[in-house]
Amino acid sequence: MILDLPSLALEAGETLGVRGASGAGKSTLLRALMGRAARAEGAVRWGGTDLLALPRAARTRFRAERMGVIFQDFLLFDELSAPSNAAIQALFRPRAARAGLAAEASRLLATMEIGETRRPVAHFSGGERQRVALARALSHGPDIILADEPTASLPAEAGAALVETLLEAVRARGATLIVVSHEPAVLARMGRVLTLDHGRAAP
Amino acid sequence: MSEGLRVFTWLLPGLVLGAVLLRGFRPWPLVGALLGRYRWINLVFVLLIAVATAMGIGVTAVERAVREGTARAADKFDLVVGAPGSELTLLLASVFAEPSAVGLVSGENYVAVSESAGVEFAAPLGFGDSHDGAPVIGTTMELVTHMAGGALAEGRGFETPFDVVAGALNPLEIGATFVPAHGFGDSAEEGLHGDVLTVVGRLPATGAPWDHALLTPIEGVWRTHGLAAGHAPGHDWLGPPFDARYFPGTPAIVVKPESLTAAYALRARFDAAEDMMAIFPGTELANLYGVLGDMRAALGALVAVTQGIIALGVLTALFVLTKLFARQIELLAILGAPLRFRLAVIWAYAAALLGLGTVLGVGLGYVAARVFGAVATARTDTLITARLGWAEAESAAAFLTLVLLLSLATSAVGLRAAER
Repeated sequence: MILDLPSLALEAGETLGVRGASGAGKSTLLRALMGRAARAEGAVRWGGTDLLALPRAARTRFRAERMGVIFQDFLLFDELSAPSNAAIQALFRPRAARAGLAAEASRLLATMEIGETRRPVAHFSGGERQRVALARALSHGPDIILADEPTASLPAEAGAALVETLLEAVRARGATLIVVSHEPAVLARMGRVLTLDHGRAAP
Repeated sequence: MSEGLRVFTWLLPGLVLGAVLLRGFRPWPLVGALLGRYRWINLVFVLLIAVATAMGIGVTAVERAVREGTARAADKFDLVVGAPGSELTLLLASVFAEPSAVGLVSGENYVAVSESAGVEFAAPLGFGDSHDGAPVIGTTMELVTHMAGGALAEGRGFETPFDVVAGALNPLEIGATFVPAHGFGDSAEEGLHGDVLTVVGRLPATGAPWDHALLTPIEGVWRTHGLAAGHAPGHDWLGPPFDARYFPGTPAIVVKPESLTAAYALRARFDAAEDMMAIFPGTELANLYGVLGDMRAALGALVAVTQGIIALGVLTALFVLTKLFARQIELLAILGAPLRFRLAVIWAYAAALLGLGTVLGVGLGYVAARVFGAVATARTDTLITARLGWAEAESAAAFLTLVLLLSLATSAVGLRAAER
């Protein structure tokens, strides 16, 4: 067993930091919360929706509509521009949602001082790339945001700025935020911190 | 069903698959990103597909061009009579002006042929000389006029035994004079003949080797070789009627029948004669195409196998590339992209490579066929014009659709492996 978590409850709008040594089960927890754990028992209930009880396609749709995800190494499409990356969901979401997505992505990029540049993001700095990734995670208006070591690839100053932006965005929309991080400065900004040890919640 | 509709029908399964798979999605920015990320590998794929397509369409285009070109060359030769021997040799000697060792038809037989009911004209041919690589062919003005379609392109016809009507592509200008060499090619001997010939007219282009030839009255050819001139002493006209007693023999007689019915009757009659044979050049060519048709089938099978191997290679490589995209595909799944969209991205990527390769292959096949046509024309003196037709479009469309359908299965297997 990689992760054994009898219970974890969060209020809407709450922020949770998750820490633990390598192999403690942090990434597995995030995968389970996304409904992408290879084998899982129990329930992952977001509001009234038990993600594990949903068929695969419905889980995918749930993520598209309600979740935003940020990764340590950004995972952008290097050949695409910042607006294209930020509004990536417009490629597969229903036509009616596309215009709103693109507009929100542009607005977020502008507030993060990225702008409407058509340059491929391959030419961006690490801090700029992570801001594009943040805009991507927020552009479709999710109420759940999951971040896996979002500042690990950034210099301290850029990391701190990103956390501020992230918290501002979360507060503004009342979203729930779960951040996996090993950095005390990041964890200190979270409302609550969960420590994992060998797949279990440490006291 | 029209040809265009048939091509569309071939493309339809691929188009329907694309429409179903891509409906409601916009995968092209991601497809563009994948094309850009592995541009050199993609280029190799496109070239492989292009080569496979070009091979498929090039073979059929060239084969058709050879068939049409040779048929065009034989168009003016309804019936050819020669001494018993090889039909193919007689065909090559007469229609394709190829130097050949054939027996001679006697004067008696020539007169019998020319005076047969249903014969519009019977023109004897005389070979043996050349000038600058072009054959000098002795014949009558009737055949020259027939080959010209009624009127020469420029100049006039034969008035003396030393007049020459040049083929459309022969470089000699009207007014040019030359002394023919005895024989052909490397074995041609200069200086054996003394008569100076003068170019007085030019044939319009026929697409046959005769476009390079120099046509002269057969009386002049006989005379140059020290033979009787076909007419009794004192009878110095050119052309028929010939006197059998003064007729030195001819390797071939081109017969213009008055009608199709007459052509079959004449062929049967001449062929039945003990010391003659008659051929329809068109029929001989059709027999030859029959033999070549087997080769075409074998070549077609070889091309199909090669295309299959290339397609298999491309599909295998697509599977491998899909595994290279594993992180991007997983990212799309995490971001909430449905399975059909993920499949659409991979399939559209394959479709883009296949489509580009096919279009490039059609162009490549066209260029290859044209080059082959030009080389074949230069080597055979027969106009071989290869061009792409509906058959080639169908072949390309069928290949494209087949690989598009197979690439869906490959994309699905690759996606499954990438997401494992």
